[in-house]
Amino acid sequence: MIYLDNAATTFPRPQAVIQSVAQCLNEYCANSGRSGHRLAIEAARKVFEARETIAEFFNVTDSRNVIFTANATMAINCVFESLLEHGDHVIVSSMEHNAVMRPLRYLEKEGTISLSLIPCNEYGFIHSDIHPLMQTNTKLVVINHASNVNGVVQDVASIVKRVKSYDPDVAVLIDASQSAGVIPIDVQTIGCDFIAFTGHKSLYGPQGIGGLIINTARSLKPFIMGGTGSKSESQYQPEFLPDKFESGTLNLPGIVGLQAGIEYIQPRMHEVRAKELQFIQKIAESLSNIKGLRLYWSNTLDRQIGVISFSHEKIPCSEIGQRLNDEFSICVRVGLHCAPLAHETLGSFPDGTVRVSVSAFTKDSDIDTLCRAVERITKV
Amino acid sequence: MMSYCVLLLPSVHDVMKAEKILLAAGVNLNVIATPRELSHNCGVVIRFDCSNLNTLLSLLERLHVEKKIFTKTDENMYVEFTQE
Repeated sequence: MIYLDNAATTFPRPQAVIQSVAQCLNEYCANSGRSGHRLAIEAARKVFEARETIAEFFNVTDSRNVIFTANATMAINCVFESLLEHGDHVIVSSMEHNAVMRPLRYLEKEGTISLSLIPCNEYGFIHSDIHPLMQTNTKLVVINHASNVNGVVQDVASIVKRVKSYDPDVAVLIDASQSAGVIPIDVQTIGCDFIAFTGHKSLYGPQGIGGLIINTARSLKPFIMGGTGSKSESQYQPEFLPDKFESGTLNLPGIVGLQAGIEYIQPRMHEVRAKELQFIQKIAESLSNIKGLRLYWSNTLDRQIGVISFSHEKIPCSEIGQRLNDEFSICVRVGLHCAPLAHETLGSFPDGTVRVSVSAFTKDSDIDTLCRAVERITKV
Repeated sequence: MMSYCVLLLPSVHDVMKAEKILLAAGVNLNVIATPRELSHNCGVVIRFDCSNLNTLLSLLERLHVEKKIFTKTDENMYVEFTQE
């Protein structure tokens, strides 16, 4: 089996991640912060260590500003819930995933916010100035760092700088679902207010764990309330971080697995990225010779991650995906990848594309087999 | 029972941070369940030898959270330490 669906979730996981999760479940998986016995204290230490690791990874000054969530979607929703109020205006790129679009369209439909889209070019790059879109009531700008459809990388630091030069009080949220673990992300250098990330993609952690980086001093409403283990005598949510934004039992196996994933990828990020880009180049060169096949990627490797899409003028993407699975044991994802807006921007809506996404575990032979398989399937 | 001191911090995260700083500096300590006389938190506090009090305060200056220190007396009472 050849697994090339790493943009959906990475597979396989590093052994260190598997061992870390197993060790947690076997040895100390008590409830962090809820009791004073040795296992609960050990659990609390592990949560703290993971938070420190994540803070260092994203260059967050204070690890209290690392908030654990179930995934990036939850982190994104948390920002909207925490920040947006009636009458606010929000700007998003035209390459956003439904994790961003669905909650914002909901808020727009119910009359809470108004929404503007930053146009992107045919490759998916933001190519127009954001200033003309900004209004006096603009509260938030959301930018997808790297596309889950075609792998293009936006120049988020420049966009944040441009937003802040117009109005430093406008918040910027970066959706780093696909980029965290691929591209070094320094929250201080980028200067954004929030980063939403997930653990189970290029950070090589398990599913069900992600987080939100808060890099702003602005007042935020808590987005989930309940037991925190702190201030238990009070019926009101604590005001201090991370407790203000974390209620209920934490996903300890997920948290330690995420830490192990980060410790796996951090020292080899540069090497893995270089290898992944070689794969993308190889796929692009090989498939570009196929008549009737259209590629969706950046056309420039320095602003690309290990994700590329293609479609064929005569063969539906669903048929290509099924034949790759059935005849060649190759796992890819087909369709709209929960990102209809991005496909509209790229001109692949509503049919969608076949998406190939690689990881640290992808081999040269996997890519050779894929390219040969696509050549055979598209010989019509 | 010998007297000792405890450090009460707002969150478990803060306790873990303090533990890391203090252990790195070689301060002997134990993380224990929060005594009910001090707080109704479900969490934990740092127990330490009162002779390390000044060292502890100095080391934790960079931890910008509310810190409360209590001395447990031989009479089994907790007395809050206040800096003059």
